Amino acid sequence: MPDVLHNLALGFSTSMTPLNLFYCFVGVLLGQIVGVLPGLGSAATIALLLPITYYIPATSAIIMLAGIWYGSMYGGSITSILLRVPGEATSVMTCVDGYEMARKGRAGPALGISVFGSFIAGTLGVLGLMFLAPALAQVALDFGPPEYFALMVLGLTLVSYLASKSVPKALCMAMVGLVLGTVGLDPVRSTERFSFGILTLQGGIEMIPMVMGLLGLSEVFIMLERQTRSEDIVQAPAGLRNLMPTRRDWRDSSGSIGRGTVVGFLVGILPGAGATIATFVAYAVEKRFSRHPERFGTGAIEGVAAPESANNSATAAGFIPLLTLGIPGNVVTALMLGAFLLHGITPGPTLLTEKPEMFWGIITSMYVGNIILLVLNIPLISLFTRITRVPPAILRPIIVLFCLAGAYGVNNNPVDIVVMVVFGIVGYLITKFGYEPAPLVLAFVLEPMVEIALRQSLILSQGSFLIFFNRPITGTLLALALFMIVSPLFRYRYRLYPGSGVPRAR
Amino acid sequence: MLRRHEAASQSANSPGYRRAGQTNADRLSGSVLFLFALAVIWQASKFPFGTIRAPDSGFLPMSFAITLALMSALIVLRTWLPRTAVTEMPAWGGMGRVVATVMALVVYASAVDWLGYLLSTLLIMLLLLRGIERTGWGMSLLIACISAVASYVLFRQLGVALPQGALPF
Repeated sequence: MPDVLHNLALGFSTSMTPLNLFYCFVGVLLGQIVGVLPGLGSAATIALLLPITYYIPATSAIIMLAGIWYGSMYGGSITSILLRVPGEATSVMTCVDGYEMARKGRAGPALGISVFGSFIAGTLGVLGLMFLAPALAQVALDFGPPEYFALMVLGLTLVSYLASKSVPKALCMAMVGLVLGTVGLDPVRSTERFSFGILTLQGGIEMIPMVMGLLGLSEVFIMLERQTRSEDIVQAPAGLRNLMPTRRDWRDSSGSIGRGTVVGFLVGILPGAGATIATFVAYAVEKRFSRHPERFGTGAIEGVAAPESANNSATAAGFIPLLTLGIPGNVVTALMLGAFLLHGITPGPTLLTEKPEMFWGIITSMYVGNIILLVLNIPLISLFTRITRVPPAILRPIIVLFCLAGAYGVNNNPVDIVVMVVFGIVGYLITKFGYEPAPLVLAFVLEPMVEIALRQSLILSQGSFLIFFNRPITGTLLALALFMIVSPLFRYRYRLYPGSGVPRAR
Repeated sequence: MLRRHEAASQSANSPGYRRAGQTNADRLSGSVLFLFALAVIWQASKFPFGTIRAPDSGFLPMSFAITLALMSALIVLRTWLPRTAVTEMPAWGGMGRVVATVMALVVYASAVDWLGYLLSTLLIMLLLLRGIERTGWGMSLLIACISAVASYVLFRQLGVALPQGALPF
């Protein structure tokens, strides 16, 4: 116990400095805003802000990026409830009962319970992170290259299986990401690969312009292509007053918040699953355990409370693989790994012992950020609903501006703008053809680590592939990955039915 | 009073699902990926491969590319299977604005070093706002000026070295 207090004190002494408080505030506010805006996701926003993190201290940078992520979980529910348009993929499930509640004139309590549920789950999630991360980091200290290799293979497989509409397409994207990751000097022997004598390519493809193009600019292109008619501009109702859920609402939803938190946390730890899947699972669990499952879909407050809690605890859990193993489990934490690497810091089991003030600073900042979000949301929610009235015609050029300045600012090299535009076009085309950029980005970030782990393992075993199967952890993880690849039984496949805005399991 | 928002914009972009044989979007995308994989295999064959026991620089690129070739072939081949959900050929109706934006960005990249950040950003914002988004002249000028100056100040404050250009601003 004294250890916990000591760690908390250390963490808060980092996260409560004026500078870090400022970046935490900026992060959660931005997250809240992009959460409200349909079309612009948290991954795109984090990609857009990556170049800025180059110029601020590492801890502040991660605090800000983390704030964007969990902040967007608060904002995403607003348009889901009021307009049946999810602001984020993680609030798709909230549309179902949230919008029905709003139609019955209960928009206030629906928004209220999603804010309180988010806060409770976010805080409990951070508590879980605080206790689990050091323990896992301790275990991970014994991991060697074979374990890391197996974890990354499993992670990439899970991403392709859980988080996508089509498994072969997701695997294709992961392979393209891995191939792109090999461009530049081979990390072991320094052989030049795929650089074609071009100086810019010798150091590998620059991550920042690439992700800004794939995740940010491509969104602009997709938004541009849609004809913006007047009825497409989302109009939110003004004058929301009563956000407070009634006593009965609390009684109905307290169990859902608890279950949503636990489900979200457990799903969130898994690489590849993440917050979106967590909301699907939480909703399904809630419906399964409800005494009145028929109420779901007609405006049951449990149907809002459970997924909104799940997505917040899932974000906290999502930090566990990144902070303890140094392996990102989804595209958002992959971008954060990028931010760490920009500062020359490799997160992993040694982060806790070598930079405890940073480790605990990041974790405690999430308590602070959740409190800021609660305080912001309660009085200002009707103000946030007005963000939806910013016309896309103004929003799009501003996103482009951020892309331009950010891509250029990395190396002061206009070639980076061209790289960004090329990946913008790639991102736009792959989205149009039903592929997703997320596995590509994750695989690209993981590639050098995969390669080093594989080759070091084989040096360790003097060339025997048995090393991947006769170590218990490695063997289990790889067997699991293999099982996922060969067995179609374990596929969770969700997709959006065109126009309905409601996901269904197939 | 709540207004029901028709999620028309959502459906415009979601891949549609039709029975095999009706469309060939997956055949096209799968074939492009397959050709890309072949090109990677051809290039990777020039790197030292090593052996399975001691893989060298070419080992992983080759393995990734072979997996990509297999997966993309699967995407193409399964379109002939009965009752497979395949992606509908996307519509290209709004392409004009995308192409125009891409061209503007490329021109920006080639001009920013000698025009300077402020002037070139002002011009591209004006072009995007007025030319592509059809915002009114007054509004376009106002937002272009504010955003160019504000981003310049913000990035300079953060320490990003933005080009001054040939002009004194």
